[in-house]
Amino acid sequence: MRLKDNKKSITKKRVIILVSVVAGLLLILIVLEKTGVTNFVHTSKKAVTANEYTKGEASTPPDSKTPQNTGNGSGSTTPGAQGDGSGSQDKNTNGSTSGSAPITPFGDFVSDYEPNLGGRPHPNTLNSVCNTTPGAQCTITFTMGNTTKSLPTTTADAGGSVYWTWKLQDIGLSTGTWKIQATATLNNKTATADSPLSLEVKP
Amino acid sequence: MKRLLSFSLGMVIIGLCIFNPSIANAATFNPNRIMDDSVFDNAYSMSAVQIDNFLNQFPNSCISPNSTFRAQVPHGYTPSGGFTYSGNDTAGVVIATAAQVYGINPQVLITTLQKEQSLVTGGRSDGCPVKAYTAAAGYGCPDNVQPFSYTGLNLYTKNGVTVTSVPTTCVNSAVKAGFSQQVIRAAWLLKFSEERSKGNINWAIIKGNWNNSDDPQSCYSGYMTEGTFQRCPSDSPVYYSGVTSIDGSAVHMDTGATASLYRYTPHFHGNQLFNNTFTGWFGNTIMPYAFKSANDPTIYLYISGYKLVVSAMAVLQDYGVSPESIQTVSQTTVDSIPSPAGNSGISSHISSLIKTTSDNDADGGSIYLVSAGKKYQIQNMNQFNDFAFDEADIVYLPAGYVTSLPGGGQLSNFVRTPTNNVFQVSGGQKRIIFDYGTYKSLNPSDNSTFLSYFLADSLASGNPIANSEILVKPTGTQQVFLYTNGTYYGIPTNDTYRCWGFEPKLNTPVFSPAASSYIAAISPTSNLNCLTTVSGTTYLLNSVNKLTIPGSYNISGATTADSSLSSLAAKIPTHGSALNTYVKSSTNSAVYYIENGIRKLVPTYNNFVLLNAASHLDVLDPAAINTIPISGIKLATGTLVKTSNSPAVYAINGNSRVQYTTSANFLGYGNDWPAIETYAANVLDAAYPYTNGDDVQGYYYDGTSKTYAANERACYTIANSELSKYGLNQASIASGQQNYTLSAFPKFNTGACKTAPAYAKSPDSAVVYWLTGGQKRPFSGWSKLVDHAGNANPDIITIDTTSLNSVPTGSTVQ
Repeated sequence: MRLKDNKKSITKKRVIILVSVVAGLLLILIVLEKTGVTNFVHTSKKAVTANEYTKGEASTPPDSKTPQNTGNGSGSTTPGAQGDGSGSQDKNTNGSTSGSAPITPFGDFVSDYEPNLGGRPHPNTLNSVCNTTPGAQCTITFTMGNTTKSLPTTTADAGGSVYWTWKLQDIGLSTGTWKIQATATLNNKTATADSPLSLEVKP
Repeated sequence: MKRLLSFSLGMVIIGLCIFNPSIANAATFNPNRIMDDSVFDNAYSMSAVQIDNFLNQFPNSCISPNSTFRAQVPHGYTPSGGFTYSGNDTAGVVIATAAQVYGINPQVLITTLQKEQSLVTGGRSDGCPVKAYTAAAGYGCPDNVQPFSYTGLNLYTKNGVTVTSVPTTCVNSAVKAGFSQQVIRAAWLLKFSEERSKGNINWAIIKGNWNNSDDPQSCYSGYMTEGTFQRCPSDSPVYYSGVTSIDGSAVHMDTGATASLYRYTPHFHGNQLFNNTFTGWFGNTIMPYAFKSANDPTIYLYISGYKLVVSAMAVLQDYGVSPESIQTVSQTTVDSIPSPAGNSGISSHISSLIKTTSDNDADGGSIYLVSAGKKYQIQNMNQFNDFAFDEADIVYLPAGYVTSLPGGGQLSNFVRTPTNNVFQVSGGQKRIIFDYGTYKSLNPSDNSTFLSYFLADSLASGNPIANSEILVKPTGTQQVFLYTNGTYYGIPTNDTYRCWGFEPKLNTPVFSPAASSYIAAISPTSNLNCLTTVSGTTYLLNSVNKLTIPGSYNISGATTADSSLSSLAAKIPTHGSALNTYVKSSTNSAVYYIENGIRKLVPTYNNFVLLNAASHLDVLDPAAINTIPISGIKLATGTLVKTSNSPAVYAINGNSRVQYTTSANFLGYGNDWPAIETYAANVLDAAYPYTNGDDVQGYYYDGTSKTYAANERACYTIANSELSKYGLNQASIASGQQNYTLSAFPKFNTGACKTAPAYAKSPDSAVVYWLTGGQKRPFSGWSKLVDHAGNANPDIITIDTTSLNSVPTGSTVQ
């Protein structure tokens, strides 16, 4: 009888330990998910470009009022500025772009124009940016002679930007001078920008 | 009337200059460096009141208090709620608030308002339209798009009436429309871009009502300065060259402010307009800069909104500001820039030693030396004392400015000057290090600090540091000194320099400091000498070697070497044999004889041969030869000489000379007339004096058994036993020649002399005698002599008349 009681007691302890371990693991998983370290049960929140499109625009701010007309189609295209008129770097009509061509891409198409394939003295990892209309598709192509290599076409974020961090070898760029062109596509319309600077890939 | 017209015209021009900054100051535009961060970040350059006063200068301004303009004051921000605003106030308050919240120079915002919509000066052709206020900073305002229209907003207030609608505007979102909405967003975007272009991924303004916690979670898509940075918080850092394309040209983002301004307006034209406007109104965009007024020589450096007195031009240059860049501005402008307040803790002037006003700031209150445009952190008080710095020279500058100065790292006790001289600094002195080997041994890491001329000159100089012998040639002189073991030795002549063999043997490097002040005054311990005594032995230093000088030469004037010079002399090889008595220069044919501490010229080859100099000759460097004093001549015994002022002919005899009194004797001893050498009487008399009576006799007694009778036809040997036969006396002959020996007659070949014949004559008579039986018997005629001698040409000895007369005359030979 005593022996039987002892066996029951041992089994009970084992169950408690097992449940505790599982509960602990679940707790850790929840913490990791909540802190964004893991993304098993939710999609990770990707950082969005902060600029004129996005700063303070995430929700309706207290000072905002409903626009009476967002692109009234009157045909008037009077620029706002009497000075330089260049304005801050915002080329979008923010909601009034249905059917419009995308903004011509601009920005640092490559972070370094003289990278080394070997990684020295200049790194072979580059960063590229394409700034265009939010939602537009953008790619950057590199051409030397008849050879063209491209960064993957990617949709611009809410700030109108696409970022690539890539290695020369990833897209097969070899030593030489590569012409750079960025292309944005929206509403079946395309806008391209040629960089006046070429990418000089060195050994 | 004319005067009035001129005055009016002048006012118009002045007015144009005031109200159009691009005319007032067409500032130089550096596309790579539009503005320095220190200018861009100067959030307190103007207060709200100062801004309003500034705006009131412009009678047509759209936003001046005088125009009754008012707008909401930015009050806060949250990521979910966006920007919030409080009640109305002047444009100065709005601008100052926005500037101070985000840490940006309000002058940048004022200039942006002018650049975008001309709101500051007004004067637009359409006056001050609503659309200009709505898009005041051009934020969110694209070119060439169909315009928007909004109602129900608080765009701005004028004459007490709030404007709520805009029929046409380029601003693409209602929340961005309106003066304050534009200003606060422009302030954020400009500052955000400046910080993120420099990789400050965590930058965010979070204070009071301002919660910009969304910024560090965002990506930045603008231009980057050079460095390894992240654009997005989850990215890995990537190297950015800082180069980008603006309007088809390559531009390098020298500063974060430059990157931000291009991010805001990615064109040259807009930024040139910004640059000209800012410069015309507020001064230079590049900091630090210096300025003065036309009528006051005081130069100021503009630092963090203050003017600090420049005590010396050199100090200004150490701050990286060239004298050419000093701007002359109006006294009003000078007066408008405040000096640091007494309670600010900031010094009123600049110096080369700086620190922040706090000991508890980011750099822990470090003291820096500012040199040639960089700051160097002083490591400790020992180093402070090594440089003989004075605490009274430390000035206190704003932490932001100190931080903004380019850093050169920690101050090294090894310093370099613009002339590439290197010094070690210790004990309040700088000591020059000429040779690389010494430098590397003392400073293997090669870590050194670059000092300006001014700072280098302000440090006292000590003696050089050298691990081995060096030659030091002070700047601007022809003097050279040997420097070894911390001691200088003079090198008085070029010969001394040569004979010590610095170039051919020791390979001793010669160094000159770039400035005479870079070494302490030279006071040599002693002079080098080609005659040097080392351990009791005197040497003649001969460039490639050194020769022992025999004591018998009686050469004086040698210098006794100390241990340093003994070591140096030991590096010069000693010649295998002692110095010979005859020497010549390697560059000259003259041969000298060393005697009694001087060298005497051997004037002719004849003497060189007679003296047998060739077998006792050393060929020396001319510098070594010149060391031994020269005087007189050296002639060989037997050399025939005469003075230039007398026909008398002499033979050198040891250290004197003997005279040939007759040509018969001269010829009799085998001499030739052409062999006679002529010298100045004083030279000859000094070296080889003649004593009256020291004459060459016709007979020469060999000191043993025979006497030679020399005459111009032949010489004869007369045995002692035969002398009386000729009326001669050995004793009287010997006494007449006691001052010379046979060596005085090198051409006299005694071996060729014949035995004296029995026939003799006197030089004064033609009568020939037969000497026989103690008599001299005359021949009656030549035929009788020939018959008697049995020889058609018999030998006849010439005997001086006195001696021959002393022989009794016998009967005539018939």
